[in-house]
Amino acid sequence: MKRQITEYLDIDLVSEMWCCHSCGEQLISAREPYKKGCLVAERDPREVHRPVIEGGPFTFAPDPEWCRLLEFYCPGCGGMIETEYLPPGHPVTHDIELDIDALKRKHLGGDEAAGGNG
Amino acid sequence: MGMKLDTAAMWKPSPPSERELACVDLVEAADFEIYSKKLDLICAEARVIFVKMGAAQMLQSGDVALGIYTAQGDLAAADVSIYLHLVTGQIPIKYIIQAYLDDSTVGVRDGDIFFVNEATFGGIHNPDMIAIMPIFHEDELVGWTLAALHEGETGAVDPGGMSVAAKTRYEEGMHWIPFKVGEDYQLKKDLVDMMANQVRDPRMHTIDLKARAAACERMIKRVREEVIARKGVDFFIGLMRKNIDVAVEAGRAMVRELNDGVYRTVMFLDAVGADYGLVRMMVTLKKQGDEIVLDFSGTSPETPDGPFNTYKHVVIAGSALYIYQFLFSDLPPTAGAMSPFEYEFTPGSLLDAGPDAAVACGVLTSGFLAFYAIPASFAKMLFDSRWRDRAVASWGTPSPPFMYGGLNQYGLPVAGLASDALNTQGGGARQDRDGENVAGFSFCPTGVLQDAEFVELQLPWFYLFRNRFMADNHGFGKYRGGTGVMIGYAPHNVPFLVCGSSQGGNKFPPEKGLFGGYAAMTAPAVSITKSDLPELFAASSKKIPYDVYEMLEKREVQGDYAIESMIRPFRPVPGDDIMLMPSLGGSSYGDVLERDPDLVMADLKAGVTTHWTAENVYRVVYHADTLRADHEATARARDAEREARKKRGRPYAEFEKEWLQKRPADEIIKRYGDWPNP
Repeated sequence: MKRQITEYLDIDLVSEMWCCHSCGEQLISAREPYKKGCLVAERDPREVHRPVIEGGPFTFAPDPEWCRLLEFYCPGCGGMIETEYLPPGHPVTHDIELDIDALKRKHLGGDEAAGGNG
Repeated sequence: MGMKLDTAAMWKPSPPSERELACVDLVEAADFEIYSKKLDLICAEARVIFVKMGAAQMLQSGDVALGIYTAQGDLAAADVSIYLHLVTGQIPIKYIIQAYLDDSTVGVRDGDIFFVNEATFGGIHNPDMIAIMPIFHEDELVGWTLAALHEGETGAVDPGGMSVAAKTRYEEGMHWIPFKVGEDYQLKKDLVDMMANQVRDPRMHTIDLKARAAACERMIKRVREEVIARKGVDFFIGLMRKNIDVAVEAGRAMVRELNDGVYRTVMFLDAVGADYGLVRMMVTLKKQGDEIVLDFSGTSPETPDGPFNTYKHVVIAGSALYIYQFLFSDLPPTAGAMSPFEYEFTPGSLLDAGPDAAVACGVLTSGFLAFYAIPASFAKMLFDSRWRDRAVASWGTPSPPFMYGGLNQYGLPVAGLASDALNTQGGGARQDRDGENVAGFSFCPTGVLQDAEFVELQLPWFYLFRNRFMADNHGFGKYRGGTGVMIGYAPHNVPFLVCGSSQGGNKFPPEKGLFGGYAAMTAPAVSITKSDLPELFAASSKKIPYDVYEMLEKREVQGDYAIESMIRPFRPVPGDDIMLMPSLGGSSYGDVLERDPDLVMADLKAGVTTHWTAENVYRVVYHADTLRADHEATARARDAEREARKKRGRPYAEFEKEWLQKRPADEIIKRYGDWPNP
């Protein structure tokens, strides 16, 4: 049984694995940060946010000395699972740390309090 | 150091009093539906009175707050307005009750008018000025009314109320803790004159003070006529308590259904005042059962010489903006809605500043949290629930206010804050739709952009332009953020104005996309000095530009162009200069490669998206002359990009090993605290 946790991420409650919602690729244990199961690309943010002005301290685009764009891809289908804008070298955010045991009790244990999207 | 008030828990609903417990059961279900709505409408009517009477541009735009409170000072009903002030407004009311209700030299009587703008006593920052009046029935204090407004002038070192140059609270102008400025429904002239003497625009200050009092008085009048006279005072007391209790019960029931876990969002600002420097704000949501703890530890330290600091009750009220507007949008906006939430701060941090700190621009830091970090964390909690539709990407975060001071075209002193950039921010995208273009002020969903001619009639500038979308200033995604505009101000019919502005997000996007979407643009400000604009206008020239991109590309207006920070210390701006300010776009939702190519074409036609972005980010193949998408060729281009991603991306462990060796230059993180975890 899978629960859709974000637009592009499922958790398989039986195998306790993060999976790509688009292609079903198994990423990593649901008890780990899902980003560790993704492919990661570090990009100059100007590759996406085109500078309007070349040169000078302000260009209408993030300054690559201050800010880098991280893209997290599904290794199966190349879908963009998440992005992060971080200063160079700043640790990646462990953004979703679910209580997997509680989630399993909620959906596999017959807890009538379950909300959800099926 | 000024007086220090411990505001802890003053924003939480008080336990019901014996009087309230005795009254709440008098309110039957049908009457509750009718009369709780009546309380909302009473606040809404007062809003109309307030807006029509006032002078400040923020007031005339409708960016105000109006509420009715219980005798204990708990928010019991509100207009859909700036909830920020309504939550912190509980603090000065509870202070008045604690400090003055039984004090023989002050006391609280029917017709009293209290005033407060001190941030440490429940204000946000001192431009936010609040009037408070008690509701009496015979000799019993049965409630309170409140009207609040950002005044835009405080008598600080700079005009406009949000001095970017202030280094301590003592440079930020007047700080009034709650005091009685009127009795028996009359403002006291000596006190009104004393206050007017503190500011650069005494006319605006006095008119708006009267407008606040009138709005409070109207709510008292209607409560008496429409509720107490019809149903009795016990019913009114019970009605307010039930409005709180319903929100407590329903709010906790909703929270109980959400997935237990920990949700983190980190965000960065690139400035702390007049100086640059990266600072970090972090929110960790710890959700278990029917409670959520918002933990802000890991935030950078207080800045000792800049005004971007704030107080924890302001951050708590900032979270209420999201909670009231989105998470609990179907619950009564009362104190009860805050029941499921607890907060943790690190003393001495940017978000829990000391008593001498400058805080006038701190609403920006708390505002960024309110509209990016907090919604982003909640979205990840809400998606796997029946409230998925409330998972919303960030609105354009508080846009840079254009602040001014000087003499207007009639020779009268003026000072204030122009609300154009605030009331034209882009909305955030959701799972099934784009963000609204020029949606409005993220703090106040009912505020409006003022009519240009009306503003120009009152104030000494004209708008060079403000009515074209600023292409690409939103986030790109499956659903894109709403777009803002660029506003051109040119002083007119006066020799000069003193102008400034303040905002982060010049080098680092403070808000990011949701679920794989991209952030909105880092839009700086632009100025043209020594321009020939007056001559072009005199000649009705066709060289006068319609938007910022046309202006920068063609440069047909002659002058010295500067692409500069949105943080602009105050400076004289002569009548031939032009100052441009952006309103910021909203953030996006989902993978850009999933955006319907026909929507990208519609964006091109509307001037919301550029051709470069359509081709290089959305990877749409289309006919440039007809703007019709080639769906098959687009699918092939997008498949190729997905394959390119797989080649570009590296396994996480390999990436992290190299990534963690990097570090920004010391100059960039001089304000940050310990790297990487302050």
